[in-house]
Amino acid sequence: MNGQKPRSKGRERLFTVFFMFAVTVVFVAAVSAAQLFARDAIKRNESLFLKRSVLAAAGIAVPADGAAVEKLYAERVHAADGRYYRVTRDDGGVVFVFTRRGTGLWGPIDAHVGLDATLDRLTGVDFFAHGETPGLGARISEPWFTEQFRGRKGPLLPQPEGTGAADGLFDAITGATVTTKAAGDIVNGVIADAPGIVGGGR
Amino acid sequence: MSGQGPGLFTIFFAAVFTGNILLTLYLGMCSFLAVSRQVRTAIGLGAAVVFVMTATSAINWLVYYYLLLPFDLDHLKYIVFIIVVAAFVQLVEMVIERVSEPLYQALGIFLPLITVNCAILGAALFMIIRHYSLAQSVVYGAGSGVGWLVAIVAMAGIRERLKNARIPKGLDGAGIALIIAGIMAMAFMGFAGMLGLN
Amino acid sequence: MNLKKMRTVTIANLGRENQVFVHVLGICSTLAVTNDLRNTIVMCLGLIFTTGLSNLTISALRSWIPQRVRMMVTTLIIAAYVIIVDIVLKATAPDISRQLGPYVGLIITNCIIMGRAEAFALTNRPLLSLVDGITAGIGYSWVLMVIAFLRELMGSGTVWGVVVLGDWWVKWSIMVMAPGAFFMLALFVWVIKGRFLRDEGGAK
Repeated sequence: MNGQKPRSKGRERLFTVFFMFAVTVVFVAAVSAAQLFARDAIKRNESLFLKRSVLAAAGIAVPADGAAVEKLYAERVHAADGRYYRVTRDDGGVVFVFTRRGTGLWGPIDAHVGLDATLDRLTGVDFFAHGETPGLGARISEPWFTEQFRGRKGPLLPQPEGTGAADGLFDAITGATVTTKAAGDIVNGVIADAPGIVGGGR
Repeated sequence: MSGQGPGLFTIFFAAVFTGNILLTLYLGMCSFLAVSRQVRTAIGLGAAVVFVMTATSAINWLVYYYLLLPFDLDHLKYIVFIIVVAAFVQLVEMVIERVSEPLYQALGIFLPLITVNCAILGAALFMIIRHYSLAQSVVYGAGSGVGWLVAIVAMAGIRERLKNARIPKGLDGAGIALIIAGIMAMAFMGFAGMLGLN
Repeated sequence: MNLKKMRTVTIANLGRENQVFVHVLGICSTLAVTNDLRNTIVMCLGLIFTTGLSNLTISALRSWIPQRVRMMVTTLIIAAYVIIVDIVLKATAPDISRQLGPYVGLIITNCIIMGRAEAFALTNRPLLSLVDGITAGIGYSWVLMVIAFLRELMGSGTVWGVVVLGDWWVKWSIMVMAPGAFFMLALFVWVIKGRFLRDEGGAK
């Protein structure tokens, strides 16, 4: 740049600081405004997501439309002391859905596990939060994996992929042993603890 | 801030091999493809990445849990993390320049490259998503950096060997690098199952 | 309002100066999201939006940005737009946002956006820079969509989630995973550079 006289250098530095400050303020404000504006919608989406997950684990067909999900949830689901949900099925029967957190390969895995009224058979499983390896452990979210739990009687032991289609077994994910085991532990843990949690009020 | 969770060794090993930040999570590709022709430069850049990743993982963790979350500023994490990385790299550059001229000559050009390396920001984001503790984050940062280093040095070694090979015109440069990366990715997937990991 | 320049820039960004297969930039996201066509389109829209607007903003401010803090200012502006995209996605398409995960935030470090800012926006007028940003994004997008179409088709048998190839097709799982991404992109680069850019000398 042109000649650096001490005075203009000082002014230049001052402008630099001022500019950085101004730009930061303007853009951080813009971002924060967007955040404030969208905050409610985001919260609603997150709660909707969890509601869908509970319904799926209860074995109830989840409607695509958000408002329909809210209505269905309000009608059918009653949270009992925050540790489990008591869900009414289409035919009037009762299903219990439990929230459980396990330890995957990379971090925690959160799941909703549903058991029927006898606490013997699974009605469905939904692994709704995890940070497992894409293409491997992350496949616990895929329908082919979660669907196999519906109607199964536990506790379940992992089997090589393709051979676990019976009560007491489930198909593992090839190449994702730790994650599979974690998923199994979550499901079995719920089956084991369910009678204690639900206790008297059936 | 979970107390439980995967052990430190598991995280480190998985970050280097089965969940390699470059070969599995695709982060840090631009400098990977550009700077992987010679083993010496690859080692230099890789080492710098390890250092910056480990340090900024720790700093970003502290900033996130002690500054951003308490004030409900989670949505600003992208900006803050990048600024932390940029500032840290700038600081390191200044320190090296003052402390060791030859080191500065050797590493100097890499440092600005690191600032835009998506792997660094990526590592910070993943550590937040996985709710790692500070110790886990540092180990994850170090492991990811080492994983990136291993990948880029291996790539450089292979490419040096290929210097005299007849590569089809359309593949020269990025094309062959991507194919090598694909084969390496497959090889690294083979680590799944080692030591009872994934 | 120089339409001729806009046309030149557009054509270049779509073809000979394409960010992905000529300049080899933006590769990280190219590989990460292209296993699903729907996610890819969302990512592309996000990138087009960000590159265009950041180019526009940076170009508008170009005579005022002090040299010393140039990189920080451009990064800040890019980050701001990306965060807005992220917030909008979370609010309007939460399941896609969840699938894309941290890769939306990683658009900030996408070399294409920073590259256009440095190479074009800082030395050109706002409107032309906007066009450059948008067309660079479109150049990126068409490459990604071709790759995503093929990867999803071969890896899951579906296109946009709709089953196209029935059970007779053995799914190429590798297409949905990392190695498939690398190979597809390499193949794409090979085809384009080998056949269409032959007169460029090839060795890039």
